[in-house]
Amino acid sequence: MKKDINRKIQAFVFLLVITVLLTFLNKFGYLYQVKSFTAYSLNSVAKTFQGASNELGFFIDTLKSIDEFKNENIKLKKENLEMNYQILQLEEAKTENDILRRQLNFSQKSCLDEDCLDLVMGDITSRGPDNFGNLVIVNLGKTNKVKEGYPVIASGGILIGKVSEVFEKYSRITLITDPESTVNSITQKTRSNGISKGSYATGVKLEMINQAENIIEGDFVITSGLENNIPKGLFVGKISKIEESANKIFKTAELELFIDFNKVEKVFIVKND
Amino acid sequence: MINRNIKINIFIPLLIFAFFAQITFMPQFFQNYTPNLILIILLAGSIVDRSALIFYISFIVGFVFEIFSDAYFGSIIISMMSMVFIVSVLGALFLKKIFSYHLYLFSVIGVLTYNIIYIIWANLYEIQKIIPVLNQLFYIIIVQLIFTIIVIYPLTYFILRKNEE
Repeated sequence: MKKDINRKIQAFVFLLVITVLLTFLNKFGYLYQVKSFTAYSLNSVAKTFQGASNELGFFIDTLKSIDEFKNENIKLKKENLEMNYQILQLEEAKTENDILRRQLNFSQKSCLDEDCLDLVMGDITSRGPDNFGNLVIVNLGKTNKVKEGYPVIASGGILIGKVSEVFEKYSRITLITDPESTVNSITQKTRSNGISKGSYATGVKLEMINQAENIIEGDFVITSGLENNIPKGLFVGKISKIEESANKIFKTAELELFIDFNKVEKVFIVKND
Repeated sequence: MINRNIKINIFIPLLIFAFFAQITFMPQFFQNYTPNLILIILLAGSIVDRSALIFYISFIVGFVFEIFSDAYFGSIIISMMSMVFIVSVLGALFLKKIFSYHLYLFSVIGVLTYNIIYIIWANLYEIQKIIPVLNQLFYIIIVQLIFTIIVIYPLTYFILRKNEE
C-alpha cells in the first residue's frame, strides 16, 4: 500500500512540475501551435457533436412548445401587423433623415443596421465546459482576418460577445455573460450611459449608471460606440430590473437578453477596425 | 463490495465521449449550472484505480479542457490532478475495500476539492472578485454534488473490471 501511495505522490509531483512549466510556456506564447493544432483536430469531431446537440435541442424545444404554437401563431400575426406598421414609419423616418442629411451636407454613414458592417459568418463548434466562464469556439480564425477584440453578433444585430483569442482556423469568443466581459453601453430611450458586465450564472447587468440618470424598465440597451472595434447600436439586452439605493454612487440594472446564447448556432464577427 | 481496477477499454472511450458531450451537449441543456461529466468520471476512476495511471489521464484531459475554457491556463489541470490526488491517496490510506457509501463520501471530498482549488487558482490575482458571487458559486457546487452523487455509483460499477480483484 505504501508503495502505491509513493508511486502516486511521485506521479503527482512530476505532473505538477510539468503543469507549472506549461503554464510558463503558455504565458510566453510557446504553446500556441500545440493548442491551435489540438483544438483544430478536436473541433472537427466537436462540430459533429454540436450539430447533433443542436438537432436534439431543436427537437426537445419543439416537443415542449407544441401546445403553445397555436397561441404563438395568433400573437405573431398580431405582432407582424404592428411591425409592418413600424417598418413603414421607420422607412418614412429614414427617408426624411436622408433628406435632412443631404441638406446639412452630413456624409457620415450611420451604422445602426448590418448593411454597413463588414461581417464574416461562422459556426459555433463547441462551448466552454465549465460554469466559471462563458466561452464559445467559432470556426473562424486568422485565415478569415479575425482579430482580438472584434465584436461577435447573432442575426439581428444582437451582440453576443467579443473575440478573446485568435488561432489559425478558430477563435475563442468570450460571451457578454462572462464576468470578465465589459461593454460600453447606452440605453436607447433615456440615453443613459453605463457598462454592460457579465455576472456568474445570472446574465448581464448594466452597471456604473450615474444616480442622476433616468433609466426605465423595458428600455433597450445598445452599444454606445465609445469602445474600439465595437460599432454603435448593437443590441445588448432589455432592462428587466433596476437596482438603486441612496447609499450607492451608481445605479445597476439587470438585463434580459434577447436570445438564449446556448441555442445560437451561427454567429457573425464584425470586422471593425 | 466493489472491485478496484479500471477497465481501460471502457474508461477511455467513456472519457472521450464525455469530453465531447461536455463541450457541446452539456452547456446547451444545463444552462446556468453545467455539471462537469469529466470530473465525475475522473472521480470514479480515482476512487477505484490503484495505479498512478489516473494521474496521467487527468493531466491529459485537463490540458485539453484548458483549450476550451477561458480560465487562467493551468487552473483546470491543477484542480483535476489535486482532486485525483486527494481522493486517490485517501482511498489508498483508509479504504481496504470500497463500499457504496464510500463513493458518496468521496464524491463530496472530490467535488469540494476540485471546485475550491479551481475557484482559488482561477481567481488567484483577483480573489476579491469572487466574494460578491459566493452564493452563485455555492449553487454551482451543490448542483455538481447532486449530479455526482446520482451518477457515481452506476458509473463506478460500469468502469470496473468485475471479475478481477
